[in-house]
Amino acid sequence: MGISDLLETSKSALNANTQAIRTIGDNVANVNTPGYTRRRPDIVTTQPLPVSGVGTGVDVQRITRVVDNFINGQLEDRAGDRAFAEIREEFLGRAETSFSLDGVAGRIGYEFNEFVSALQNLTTSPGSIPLRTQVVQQGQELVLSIRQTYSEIAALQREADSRIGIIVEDVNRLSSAIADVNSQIRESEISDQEALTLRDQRDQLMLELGELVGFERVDNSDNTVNLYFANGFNLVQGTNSNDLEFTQTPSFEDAAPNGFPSGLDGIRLGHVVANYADSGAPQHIQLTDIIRNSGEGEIAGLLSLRGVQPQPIPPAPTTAFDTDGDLVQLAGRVELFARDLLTRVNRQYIGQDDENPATPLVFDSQSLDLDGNAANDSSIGVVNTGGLNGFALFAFDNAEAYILPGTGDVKGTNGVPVNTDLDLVIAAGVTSFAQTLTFNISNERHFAAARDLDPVAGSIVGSPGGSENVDAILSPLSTAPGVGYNLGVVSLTDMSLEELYSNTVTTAGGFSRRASDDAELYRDREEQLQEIQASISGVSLDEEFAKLINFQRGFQASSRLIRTADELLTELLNSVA
Amino acid sequence: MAFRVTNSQFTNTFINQVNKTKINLEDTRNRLTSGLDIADPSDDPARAGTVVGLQNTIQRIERHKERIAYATNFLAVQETAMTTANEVMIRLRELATQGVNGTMAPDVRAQIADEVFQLRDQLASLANTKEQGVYIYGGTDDDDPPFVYEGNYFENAGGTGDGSPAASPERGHWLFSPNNVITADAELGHTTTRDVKISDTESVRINTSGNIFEDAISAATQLGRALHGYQTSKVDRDTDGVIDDLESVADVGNTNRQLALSDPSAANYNSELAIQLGQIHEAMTALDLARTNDIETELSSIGARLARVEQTESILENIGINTEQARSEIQDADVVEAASAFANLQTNLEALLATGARISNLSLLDFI
Repeated sequence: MGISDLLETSKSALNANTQAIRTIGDNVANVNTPGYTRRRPDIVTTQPLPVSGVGTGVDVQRITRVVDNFINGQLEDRAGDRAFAEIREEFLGRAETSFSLDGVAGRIGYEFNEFVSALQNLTTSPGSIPLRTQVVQQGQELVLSIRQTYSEIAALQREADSRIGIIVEDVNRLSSAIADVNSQIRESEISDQEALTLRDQRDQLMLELGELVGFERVDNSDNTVNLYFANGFNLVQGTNSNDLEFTQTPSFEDAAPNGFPSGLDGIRLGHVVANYADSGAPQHIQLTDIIRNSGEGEIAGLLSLRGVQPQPIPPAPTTAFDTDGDLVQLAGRVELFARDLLTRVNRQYIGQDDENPATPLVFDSQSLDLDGNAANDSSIGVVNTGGLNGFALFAFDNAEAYILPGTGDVKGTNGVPVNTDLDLVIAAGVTSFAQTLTFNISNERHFAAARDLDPVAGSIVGSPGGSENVDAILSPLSTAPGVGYNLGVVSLTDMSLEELYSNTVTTAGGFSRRASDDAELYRDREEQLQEIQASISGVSLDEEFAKLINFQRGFQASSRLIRTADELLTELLNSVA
Repeated sequence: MAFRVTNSQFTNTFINQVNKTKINLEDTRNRLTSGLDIADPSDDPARAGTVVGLQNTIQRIERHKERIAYATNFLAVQETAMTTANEVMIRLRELATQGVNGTMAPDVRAQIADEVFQLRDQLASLANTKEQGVYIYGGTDDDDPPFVYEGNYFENAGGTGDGSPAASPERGHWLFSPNNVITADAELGHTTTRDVKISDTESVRINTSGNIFEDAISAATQLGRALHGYQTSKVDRDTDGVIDDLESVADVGNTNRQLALSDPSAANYNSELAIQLGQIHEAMTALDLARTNDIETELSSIGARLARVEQTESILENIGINTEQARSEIQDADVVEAASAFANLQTNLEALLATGARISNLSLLDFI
């Protein structure tokens, strides 16, 4: 043990303090860098001399990141929850505006009431052209409001679907970046020192990925991480990543005709899959359900809105309403509205065989327009149905292409439309009636307000001012329970149209409210964790400056020691000389 | 909670708090400007359905009121027509009383008959009253008048006429459309009545079939013809107590028979005069019956229906006000509350910004 050792000790102290100050410099410089975790030098005493036990100084063993991996993992989950809820909040908030309560024209409920009122007004003077014009206009407005509301929701579903496709690309970018960082970390962390920046980067990437899709994480012994879904599919496996695909034609879909249900707009919806075929035809593994069920991340949120298609595929005919999603539920209610108009109103409008009440559904037009023509007479320009047809008041685009069962006539002259008829039309390819609903009367004279007054079978005589047919349409609309459908995931029967609309408004509001409440809750929870994380890993300038003073003093003291050692040596040398 | 407060933590918390306060401010501002607490269903999903229901009710009440206005107008027109008809009937009764005076010369009676026919035609035109393009007594047959003047009625009935319209009014007749076999009309519904919905549960009949005028008009015709000297019904001419006159209604053509009243010195003048007076008495009875059974009954019925419509209107008015109140209580914003909330939030935000800015300035850096 000599004085020269003191020099060594002081040198180590100078070194250690310099490194500590450099670390502080790093921390201060990165005070606002996102994802940066503060560094801490691990300062340790070096081994004392073996015999005397006198210390040999200090060393910075390594620089560590101050991080709580458990909190970080939770933060990924919370970010996923929050992203899930926020995307739902956005879409359902937009869907809700179609059912706004401002009480202005254009909403289904308003237009329906106006239509009923127009019909009631017509009963006061059925021959009056202005009142007839009102009925025709309100009928068209009602149809327009239904079509518009439905297409707004269908457009949201389509937007959700295409956003999933975009986000899947983002997921692939992130997972391959994480795999890259994994391999860099594995290569650079051979010694005891962590690859600080790379780890920060990886945590940041995983946080970003967590906002898009939910996953589980496991740390490997070579310092890489694996990210996998609940079914064991590895998104990132060490230094490899597996790409997701978003496809409308997955390899696991049965051959036609029993395919997956289409979207609300009649176009196919996509599936999140991975291709495990090395080459040749793709072999897809279905991941949609797994991702949806995780309940984390934007993709899951979008899937919950857009709807996840039933598996196994239900027996044909599958309709857009077999898909289970919030937007589908809202659209389903609008669709119920349209179907009820098509069946119940048309059935009354055409008029049943009052001369033969034993067979009430046998078609025998009893209703007459202002010129004495039957309600479904092709000569009065029943616009879309191309002649005698059950769809005389409310119809849908291309209705003439669909055969209604009845006498065997191609146009179904016998076809007073009932629920099962609509099912057949759906099976023949109509996605939704709400999307294509039309009001068939454009000339107010052609609205059939009167009915046959002549009790003699075969002879049909009415009066121009008769309102018997309007009364017949009105009575089930305003009183009796109507909707007789169970539509895919929407199960509502025995509701009047007005009740159905109130129910739809409440449902839309409920969905939107729950989504925004969830979003708020998850935002709060995420903020809480972010605070904890910032509290652990964030840089506090005051703390850094306090430490800076400390280490600066340490440096100054060490310098002083060197001077002292130098003086001692000089004194020694002088005494020898 | 936190054991260290770091710079990023402080900044994030500050930003979040400012954001939240601003969002609340924006919500409150929306409430203030729209005046609505529940503008979107999600503002209160449970009550959104109720709001829709209330809005529907208000909308429906407005429409009911429109129809009530129509019904009131339609009924009021009928009330006027019926009141006039009643006055006409009273005048007819007066004329009949004058005519039944035996000392009056036959040609004076014939002159009275002219006024009677005028009044009869007035009754018919009242029955053919049009309101807003609709025959008010025409049932649902809007394009045909309920009463049609058939000039050659008596000629044809007697089988002696040539089918051309009669020159003088006493030879023609007003026919109620259903019996109108001459102009073959394919349309039905002349006697159909119209019900108008004046509330969710109530309807009121707004018209009456034209046949309430039928008896009055034919009684007037009968009176006019009797005054003019026609035999209008069977009589017991041989006074054996049996109405056995061959020249009777049974032999339809002979309702055309002109009584021999031109020569007061003729042998049968007195018996013919007796027949005429008897016929006038008969017509008077028919007039009285038509007035009490049809015209007066209808008048009171219209009065009752009008009263009902007015009552319903005032009930609807009340329901409308109550419903609007209920809707407002649920849906409308309490402006005072919203304004004070706004002021509160404003103060909060100012305090938040002030403290935030001040704490940001505090750093050890300033002291070394």
